Parts: sequence; C-alpha cells; structure tokens
Amino acid sequence: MATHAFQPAKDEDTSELLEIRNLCVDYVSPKGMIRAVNDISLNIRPGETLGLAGESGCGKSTLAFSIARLHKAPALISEGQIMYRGRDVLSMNKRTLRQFRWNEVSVVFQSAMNSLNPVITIGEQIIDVILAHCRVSKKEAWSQGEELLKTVGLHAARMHSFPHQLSGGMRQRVVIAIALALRPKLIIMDEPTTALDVVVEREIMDELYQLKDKFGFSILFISHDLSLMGEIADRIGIMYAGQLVELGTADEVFHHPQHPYTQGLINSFPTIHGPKERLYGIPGNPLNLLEAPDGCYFQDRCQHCFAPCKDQSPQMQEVRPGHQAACHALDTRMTG
Amino acid sequence: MTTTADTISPIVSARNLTQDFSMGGSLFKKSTLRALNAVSFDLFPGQALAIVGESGSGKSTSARILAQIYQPTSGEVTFRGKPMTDMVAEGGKRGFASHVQMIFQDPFGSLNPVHRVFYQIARPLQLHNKVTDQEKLRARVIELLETVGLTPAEETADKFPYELSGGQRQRVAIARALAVDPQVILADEPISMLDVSIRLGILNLMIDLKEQHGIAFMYITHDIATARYFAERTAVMYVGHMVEWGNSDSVTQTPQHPYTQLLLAAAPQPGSQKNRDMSQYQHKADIPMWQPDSKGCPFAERCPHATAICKEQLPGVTRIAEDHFVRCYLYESDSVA
Repeated sequence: MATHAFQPAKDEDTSELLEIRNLCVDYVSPKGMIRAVNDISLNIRPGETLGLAGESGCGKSTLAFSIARLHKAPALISEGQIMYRGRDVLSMNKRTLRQFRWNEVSVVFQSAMNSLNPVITIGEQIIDVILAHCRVSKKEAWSQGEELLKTVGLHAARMHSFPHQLSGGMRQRVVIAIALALRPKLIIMDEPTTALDVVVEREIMDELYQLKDKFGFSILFISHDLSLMGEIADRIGIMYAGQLVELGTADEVFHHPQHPYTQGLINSFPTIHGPKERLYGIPGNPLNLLEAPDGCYFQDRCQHCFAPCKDQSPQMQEVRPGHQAACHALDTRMTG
Repeated sequence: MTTTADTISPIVSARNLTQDFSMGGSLFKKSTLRALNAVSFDLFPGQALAIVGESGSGKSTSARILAQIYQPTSGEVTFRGKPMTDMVAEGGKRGFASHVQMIFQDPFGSLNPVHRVFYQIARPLQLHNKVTDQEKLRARVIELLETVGLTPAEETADKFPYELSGGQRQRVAIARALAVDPQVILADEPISMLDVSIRLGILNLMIDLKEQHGIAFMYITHDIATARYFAERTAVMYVGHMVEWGNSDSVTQTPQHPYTQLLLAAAPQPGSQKNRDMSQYQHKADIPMWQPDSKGCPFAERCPHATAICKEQLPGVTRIAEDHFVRCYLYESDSVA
C-alpha cells in the first residue's frame, strides 16, 4: 500500500526488528535530573508481542515514546542506542525520521478519546495519514480508508462520522485503523484498552490478533494490567522506577516470577476462580525518582532486602534460558 | 425480593428504583433515557454489595440516588425501614449525609487542592457538629488518619494533596468519609484510577472497615474479580437492569445469565489459553439506549439464546439457589420463587 522509501541498512540483522541498547532518558526538572528510563536493553523480534508492565511513573510510556522519537523536552535521551532493522533511530535526520514514523513504526496512544481531532470527520483523519506518506489521489486514499475501517470491524459509512458520534470502543478501533494505515512492522500500543470496558477490550484484542496474524506486525504492548498481558504477550518485561527488573516469556514470568516486585504484582490481582484468601500485594508507595536511593530501587518495599541491596544496583542476569531478572537475592538463591 | 438467610435486617433497602434522564429532543418530541429500570437491592451492616457492569449500565446512578444526588423517577429507598424522603424532610440532606457517605473514583479531583489534609477531614467534623473543641478536633483527625493507615499521621495532616500519591489521596478521601461515622459507604470505582500495587491496600482497608466498624458498603466496579474479593454479594447490571445477583461466589463461580457469562469470559485470566471463543456473542458497537417504551430483555440483541419472547417482555426474577437470582427466560420454567 505505502511506497516504502525506507530501506534497511545492508548489514541488517534479520533476527531482531528493534534493538534497544542501554537506553537512558532523563527529564530535566528544577529539582534535578530525573532518570525516567534507566539503562534499558531489550529487543523486539518480528511478529512478536512484547509486553511492558509497571506502575504509573515507571517510565514505560517514556520508553515507548523515545522509540518513535516522539519524546519532547524536558525529556532527552542521554545515553544508549535504538537500532531498527540495523539503522540507528537516534541519528536519523528529519526526513528519514518522517518515513520511519508510521511507515515502519506507528503508535496507538492511551486515550483514543483525545487522540482524534473532534472537529473533522474520521475519514479526513484517516486519509490525512495516507496522503502524507503515499503518492495517491484523494479518491484512492478515501477508498483505502474505507477498507481500513472494515478491517477493524467498522462500517465504511463511519468515514463520514465525527469522533463524538462514536463510542469509546469504536474510537479506539479508528485509532487502530489509523495505526495500521501504512502497514507498519511495529505498533507501539500505550495502554490501548485501559479506558474501555472488559467486553469491548476483549473484542478489540481479539480483532487485533486476527490482524496481526494477517499482516504479521510486531506489537510493543504497554499496560499496567498484568493479567491481560499474561494472556496476549509472547514475552513480558517488568519495569520499576525506570529500570527493567525482569524479562522473559509470558509463561515464565507469570508462573515463575523471580523479582520480588514481579511476585508482588502478580499477587496483587484477586483471581476469579482461584481460592478466596486475603492478598497482600506490595507494601509501601511507588518510588519518587528524585529520592532514588543507592543500590536497588525496590529496597524499601522488598521483603528480601539484605546488605548488598543497600549499596549495589543489581544487574540483569539469566535465571533460565530466555528469562532474566535483576535482583541480589537471586545470587544467594542460585549459589546457596 | 432479595432476602438472605441471615437474621440481620438490611440498613438500606431500594425497591423498584427507576431513573429517567431527559436527553433533549424537540419541544414536542422529548427523548428520555431510562438509566435505571426496576432495580431493587439491600445493603446489610458489615457487608458489601458489589455492583458490576459496563459503563452506562446504571451502576453509578444507583449510588447517586442513595447519596441524594438524584431523585428517583419512581421507586423507594428506605433507611432502617424509614423512607429516605422522610429522613431528608426531618434532618435535611446534611443529616442524611451523616449516615451515608460516598467515595469517588478520582482521588485527584475529589480533594480540594488548596487545603491541607487536616482541613479536608476536619471540615465534615465541624459541619456535622461531631467535634467542636479545637484540640479534640485535631486528635480526631489524627485518629482517622491512623485508621486509614496514613502514618505518621501528624505529618500527613499538614500536607497538601499534591504531596500525596494517588493511593494516599484515596485514603484521605476514605478518612473524610469516615469522619461523620457513617453506617453506609458508597464507593464508586474507588480503586480503578490507582496503581495496581496500591489497589489491594485500599481494598484490604475497606475490608477492615467493613468488618471492624460494621459499615455497609456498596462497591461499584467493572472488575468482577475484585467484586468477588471484597463483597459478600454481587449484582450484575446491564443497561439499567439488574440481570443477576446474589452471593458473590455463587454468581462468579456458577454464572447463570448469558451476560454474566460473557463478562466472566471476557475478563483476562492469565495462564488460561488466549483466544477464548467469544464469537457466539453478537458484536456490540454501541451501548443500547433504554427508553421508557423499550420492551423485552435488555440483553436480547446480543444473547446467543434469545427467543421471540425475549424481545417482547422483560423476564421475571427466578431464584436459582438460596441466595442467587437471575432475570432470564432460560431459567423461568424451573422457578421456585
């Protein structure tokens, strides 16, 4: 559909679609620098769904925005590298970046209610994306737009509707249609269904997966809802206070969580069918990054905290093949 | 209509509540939305009733009627056997508010940003003449802050809302609701805006208040798992109707109404395999709008079991078990009620 002017570098490593190496993103504030994304390395493979979970303020959205270089001052990428199919995203010039965004990577933002323009029709918003990136006539763009609406389960006549005439679920479908417009290889979804009811959420996720099977894109799925993520993601990364503390296959992370934070998060969800007993979750409050301590950031809320946690920052290490976690208690567990 | 085997009598009883809202339209053709249709429920001291449903199902409307924010179009609410309208006529709205308090969804919007925590909690104490002495006032505020787990309380009392996290703010809102010693607390999605790791703490606090202070809770949520965790009894609402209600375990473990079954199937359950088959349910693009002249079962359009009668007449109430009721024709033949 789109004319892809974007060419991958010659020495392309086909096994990874996106590689993030030691990425740090800082926010400049009057009270000092806040490291919202702290030395994160991860990769996204073609066709995979990577889930990133964590509480608000843990840096998961900041990370997502920096991948598409959508972050704005006072945020700045201070260290690290983002490689997309062998090309360095951080060194792209304006023109390349424009082709990179939406042709290659598209973003579905948290609140669909606010990411659509309320005063122009759905159709105009969809063809706007197509016309900006492809050399097609307005008429052709319009018919492509109608096709897109059909793929996300909406009637083509909705092209003439205004956002306020649609329900929340329908608006979210429109936003997904716009994200799919140029057949990107990676879709970043920042809490795409948080504002929706469970049944609508389920319908949209089912549809999204049918589209994923059809078009074969990768998804970076950002959410605080670990239970939804456990169902839909291939791999899950857990973030706490800007750091990646655990990364592994969804099954591993869910059934054998290694980091105390992950364990606490999983225990924070009452189950529908499991035994009914009092749950305790995670004590304390999320970390204020301005008061970040030495050592492990989770120390104040951790039940396993011991001497090394107070002064050394734990590094990611492999627990099992394809499952990493950053916790000092792992060493004692593995050696002892 | 709803009875429990317990001998305790309900503190609040709502019977056949109906709430209409005018939706504009022209002078001669008024359009009316029926947000609640013949809804009845009881709240018992020391117990919680969870109201589960999607947005637009009338959950918040029922709480707002109990809080005297809306006047129901028809139906009656009694408080300890006394009609709510009589109580308001005698003691005024404020007098009624000392029995029934509300906790809102958004702790960022429900606290006054220009006042310290102390003021937020002291204000209801002064308004309701619970405490007049300044020293006792301070002591009572500190005591309330300790009850909701905001320690060190002295320090918290002098903070402004912006200095607190979402979970801490919601605890202040709970302390404020507790200040007047209410017998009923209406909690409208109290945890849905909080961080996952904080939610459980608030739920556990509400469990303690329920059990130790004997407060009756109405817990409005769209999360059926927390409804089962927190509330003894659960009512499932769909487009202004209570479609299934009763003991929480019974409702969540043996759901009878097709809508409750859909809700449970849609709820994420990690570990279970993805792609559960939802295709038997009709796709819903819009929340149906119930009007005074609408007929039949509200779920009929999406229901895989719908028959002709479902589109004609609202099904009656069928008792499935001791404390488990459903409004559905599928069960009407084996009705015992």
